Amino acid sequence: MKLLTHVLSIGMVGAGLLGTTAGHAQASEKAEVIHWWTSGSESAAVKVIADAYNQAGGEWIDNAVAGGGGGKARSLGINRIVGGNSPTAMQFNYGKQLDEIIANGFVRDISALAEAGDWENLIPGELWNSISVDGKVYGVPIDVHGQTWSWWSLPALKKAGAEVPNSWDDFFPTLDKLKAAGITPIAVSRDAWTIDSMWRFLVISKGGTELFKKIYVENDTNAVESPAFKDLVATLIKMRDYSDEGASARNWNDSTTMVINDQAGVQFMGDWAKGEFLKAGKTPMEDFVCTPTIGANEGYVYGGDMFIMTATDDPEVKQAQDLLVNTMMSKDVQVAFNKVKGGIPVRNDVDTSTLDVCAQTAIKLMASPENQVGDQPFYNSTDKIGAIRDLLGTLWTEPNPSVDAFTQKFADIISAE
Amino acid sequence: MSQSQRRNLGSTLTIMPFWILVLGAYVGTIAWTVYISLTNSRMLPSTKFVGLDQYKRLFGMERWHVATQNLLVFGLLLMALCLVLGFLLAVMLDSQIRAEGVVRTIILYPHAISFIVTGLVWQWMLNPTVGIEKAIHSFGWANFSFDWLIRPETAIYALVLAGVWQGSGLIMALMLAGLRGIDQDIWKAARIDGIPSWRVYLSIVVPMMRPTIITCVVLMSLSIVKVYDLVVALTGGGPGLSTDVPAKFIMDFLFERNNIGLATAACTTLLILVLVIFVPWYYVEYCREKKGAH
Repeated sequence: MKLLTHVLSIGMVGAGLLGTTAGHAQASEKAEVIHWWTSGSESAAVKVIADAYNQAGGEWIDNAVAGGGGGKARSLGINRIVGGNSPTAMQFNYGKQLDEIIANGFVRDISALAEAGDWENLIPGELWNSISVDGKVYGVPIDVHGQTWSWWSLPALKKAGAEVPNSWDDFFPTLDKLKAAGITPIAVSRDAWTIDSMWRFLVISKGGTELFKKIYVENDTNAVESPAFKDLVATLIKMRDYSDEGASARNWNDSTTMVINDQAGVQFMGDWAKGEFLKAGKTPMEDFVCTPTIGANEGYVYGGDMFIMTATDDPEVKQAQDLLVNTMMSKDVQVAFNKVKGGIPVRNDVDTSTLDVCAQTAIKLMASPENQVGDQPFYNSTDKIGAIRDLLGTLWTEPNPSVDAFTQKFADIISAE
Repeated sequence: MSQSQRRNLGSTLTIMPFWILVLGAYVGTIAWTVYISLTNSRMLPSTKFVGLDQYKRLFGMERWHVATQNLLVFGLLLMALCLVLGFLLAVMLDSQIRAEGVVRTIILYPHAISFIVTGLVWQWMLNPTVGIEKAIHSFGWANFSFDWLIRPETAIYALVLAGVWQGSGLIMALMLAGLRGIDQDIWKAARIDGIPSWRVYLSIVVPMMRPTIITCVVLMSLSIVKVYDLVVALTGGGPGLSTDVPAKFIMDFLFERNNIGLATAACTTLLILVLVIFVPWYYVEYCREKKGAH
């Protein structure tokens, strides 16, 4: 009972009643948090959580680890957990990355907090499955990020006398117009995962939600050998002609800058790219257009970030973790954080009217379960995803790509183990 | 106990902690790596033994073959170019040129720069849209093309180029020291016999510099086998996988792809490769020579 009251009181802190209950919190509940949010908009977003936590009576100790798409932060965190010097909390992406460290008992079960906050009814079902194992909750979801958006520069399109394509029939003609106007049609970056973003945009948008799920959820090789899949591969190969020479030296955000500066027509990237546009002072639908699909298909490939609380016996650390969990799940933090970060809140009971147009599109899509498509990490190991990326990266650069060889290798990868 | 034995005991005891450290830190971790490579470990070490499964998968992977081939091409080219260039530079400096100190410093300077910085600088220079190609185009030579970096079949040579720029200075310094160690009387004798100086270098000086050259080869081999940072900074292993190297392969699978079983299998394979090449060579170079000498 005492525990319950405690949980509830902290829950209220999280719910935004900071002034009244902050006094109850211990002098300083230190929480060391490992994360990999280091770019401009990302670190501004993490500051939102840190400030809220400090205001609620905690003491946020920031441990940001740059690089490797989070790989470095994760290995640092895991090494420290295994070595017995755990951080209070650490960041993960949704998906299977977590299963193994949960199975080894390194992650604290926060089901009680989740139950008290009624998370199960607040967040998408697939996401709930992703943060829980065998009915126990292990992750605090903080954002939902669309993984496959397209970002079009309106001035570039205008200069070329074109519009954002409404169907796939208009797609290549639009790119041709951009090319003819001396604009790089597609801003491509060097890393294989950026090619993968473009590829999954094709799969969800041209192939459709059903095909996406068959490939990535069911790992169905028949779907891979279908003409629809081969058509996607051929489309991707054709898109190579619309890149430029500088692509192999660009990071994803350098490519975003090309679209921001109207030097390129379109970039295919997750909604974290929006942060770059907003930071450059651009307004959605006036300076740039964001669209998660082209044509009639609807679907939203999403992923995102969560935090895990490391397993501990220390009641003080637990208290700090409780406060941290409730801060992260509070309505205010969810909205304020995602406004800066570019994603959308995971809770469906928050006021999202202050978010921008792109986020509204995402919220509308995410509202219906049939449009929710969990991204590859929900169902596939990092190893398998990596193998697919190697394959896509090679396809994008090899001099004589073959649709059939690619299809065969792709089927081999998804049917493995 | 004789005098010398007692002295040996003292030094043995002194050195003991280091032996323990070396055995524990090096041999112990190598043994652990080999052991993990025989298990089904993914993100965390596991103890489930799977025999040679990880090796089977490794050798079935196209990416691993690309990586080892790249290492071979990169290694041989870098080694050959650095040795030749380093030697020629050393000869140039040894022929009593003016301002030798300045020239030597300039040539040695790249070595003081880390591979990461080297990689970044060359990435900019070799990038056709901002680097050398762009510069030459703007000078008016519009057909000039220098796009090694962005073509899968040539990107590995861009790595060699950057590696040579960075590494030949050190080789030059070592070679110069070797040249300076050659007895000047040999030169005088050769001059009296009227032998042209290129012939003296080739037939007398180079054979005499054998120990120096071996030092260079060993130093170079070490940095070649573990080359990682240069690749990450210059090409990121791309375009595609065309400049992947074993060290990058291992780091990717160890950290980003959470597959330490496969990564340690790759480590072990690399270790065996190195041993297969170096042990016989080491034996021929050192052990046999010593036997002959005594």
